[in-house]
Amino acid sequence: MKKTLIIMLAAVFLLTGAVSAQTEWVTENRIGNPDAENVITMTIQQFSYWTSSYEGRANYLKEAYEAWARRNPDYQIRVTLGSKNIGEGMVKIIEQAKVGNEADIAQIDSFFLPRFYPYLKSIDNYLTEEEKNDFFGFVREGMTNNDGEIVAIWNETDVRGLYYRKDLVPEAPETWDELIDVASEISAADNNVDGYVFPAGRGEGTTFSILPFYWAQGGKLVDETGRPVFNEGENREYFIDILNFLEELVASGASPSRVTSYKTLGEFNNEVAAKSAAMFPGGNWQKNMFYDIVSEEEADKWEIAPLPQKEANMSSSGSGGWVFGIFTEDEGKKAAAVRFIKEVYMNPEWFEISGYLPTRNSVFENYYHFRSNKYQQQFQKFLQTSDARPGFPIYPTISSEIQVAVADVITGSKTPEEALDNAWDNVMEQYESM
Amino acid sequence: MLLSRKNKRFAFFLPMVVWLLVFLLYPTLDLIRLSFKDIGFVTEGTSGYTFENYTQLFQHSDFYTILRVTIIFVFFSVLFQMFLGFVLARVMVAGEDRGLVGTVVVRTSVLIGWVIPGVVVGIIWNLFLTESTTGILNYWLNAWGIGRLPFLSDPTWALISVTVANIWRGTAASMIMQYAGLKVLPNELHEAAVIDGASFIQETLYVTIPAMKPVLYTNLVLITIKTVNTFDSIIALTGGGPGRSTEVLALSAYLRVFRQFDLGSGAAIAVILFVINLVMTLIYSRIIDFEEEKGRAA
Repeated sequence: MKKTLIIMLAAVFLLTGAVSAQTEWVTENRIGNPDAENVITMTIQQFSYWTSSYEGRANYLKEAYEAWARRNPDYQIRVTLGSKNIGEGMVKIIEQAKVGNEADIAQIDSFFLPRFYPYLKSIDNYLTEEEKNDFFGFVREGMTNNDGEIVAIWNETDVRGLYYRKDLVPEAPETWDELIDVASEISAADNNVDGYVFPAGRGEGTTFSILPFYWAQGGKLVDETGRPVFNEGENREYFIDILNFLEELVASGASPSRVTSYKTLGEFNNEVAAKSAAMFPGGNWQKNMFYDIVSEEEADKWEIAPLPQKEANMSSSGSGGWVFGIFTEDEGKKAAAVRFIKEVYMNPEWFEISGYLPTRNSVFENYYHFRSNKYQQQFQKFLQTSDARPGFPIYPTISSEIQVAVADVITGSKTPEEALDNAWDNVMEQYESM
Repeated sequence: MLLSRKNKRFAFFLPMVVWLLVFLLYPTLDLIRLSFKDIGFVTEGTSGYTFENYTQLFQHSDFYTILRVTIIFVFFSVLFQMFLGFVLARVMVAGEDRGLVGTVVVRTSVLIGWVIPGVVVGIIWNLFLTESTTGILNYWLNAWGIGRLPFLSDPTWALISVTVANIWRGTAASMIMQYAGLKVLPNELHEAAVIDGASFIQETLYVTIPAMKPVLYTNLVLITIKTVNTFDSIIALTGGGPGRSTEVLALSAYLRVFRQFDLGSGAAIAVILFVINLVMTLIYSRIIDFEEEKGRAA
């Protein structure tokens, strides 16, 4: 009897061990121990193992998920993949939050973040003061709600600069005047290469490309209450200046009229492939892409500089990125979720593999890949004076109207003053009905 | 308990009735309700009902620009889809009558435009029309000495481009409908016209088209509704730009809801679209009834 019991116990032990050895830590909708009682729900829209089309990224994420799962056997994360359309995905999460049906953590586009503040919960206790101070200024500001509490982790960002071909542009222009001069010369010299291309069509790329010109002058789109102010006082002058500058770019021949058909920065990869442009505003993520679309020699020709501004002493860039918002009130889940985000998505290795930018100074300063790479060092400098779009409900309308105004000026449908007034009227009409 | 004969009939219809109520009537009524609400995805709005979404739209000068763009886009799309669809169907039938090989291949090729999703249609046409050196059409125009044309960056050209892309996309469906109409025409009509010495054009104008009127009207209704509701190919091709030069009503509704998160205003535009579709359908249906009555009287 005793012998039988020992054999049975041994069998159970072996069987349990075998099952444990075969535990799948990452399945199609779960990260972690399937038997864990603590279940964290997560909605993820970008950069997940399941949606990554790059092998390197997918491999990293799977290994990092597994490592977190092994270290946190009491937790499992149930994953829901969000819509690929950012706007639709954000709308869905906010609708879920309104009715209390949101996930414990959800990935949020950084510029929507302030609209989620009422639903997000404090994670102040799970970040040290040193960690909080390590984030770039605009990032920390975004992660902090109106009560001064950290309610999200902005783990990844991007930044914009001027891409220029150094064989055609020996020295990057620092001001608008220099840009027009250099670009006009290039356009006039060779009709197969345009001096400067930029997005001026109906897309967020257009707005986000010109806002750094506005921010650098000290312009504000909205006041601290979210009321639009871009057509008032000096702000109006700044905007008129920008519209005049864009009009002159095309009128002088520095830029082709086709700029009104560009909606995103990504479209300039085609210009790189076709060798048809000498300069354009681009994102940090594009440099690595060039090596996939043109020869190494050709990709090496592209350098990056700060965006040219109205005056040489001005500087600004635009930054966005993705944030993990914490919706759960359960302290245990909060702690486990923060550990997950830190270990997987704030890990310097992830940024090296993915090509995205970290949001903390220490990663640029301490991690070899960032410390030794001149472009990464440049991006860090850009980030220090970068701005984020205002996360007030009226911003999408402002952005849309700016896109229309820019194209109306370039195509000659309206003067800069008329275009700005039209944009202002439409924005205020919308604002007053909110 | 056994159902009576009448109840059995009703039971067969029940799933369809439930389907229509849940997935058609309810969303339509909810859309109308939302169009009278000050409601956004990211703003709380007020709890009462208001006409403001409509009054703001009608007072807005840009609304009339969008309406004008929609009318031009729909008119030329429908006109050319009808015309080209008829020509293709006629050629197809003529080819089959003569036993030409390859008519099935031609029919299938034309259908490609119909089965491809709108967004992909927009991307394909974007590759074709783009003004950079990678643009296919501009490459050939340049090679032929005509020079590059601003297909997507000039407001007028951009509207022509999105309309042509939509004609390409919708001609196939129009062709199939008219092809079916031609195939069921009694052969005696054709023979009588030939015996009477009618030319091809005379036969088409005075025999074929009058005999096909019900099919043509139905086709007209369907492609008009489809075109009025089109925005997917435009969003991929121009995004509604430059400026608002290619922003049609359906696209405007989408942009207001999913870019500006203004549900009330987007719903108001959708209701206007619904009314336009409804009115046109009623007009066409009255015409069909009138033609049928005229035919019976004759």
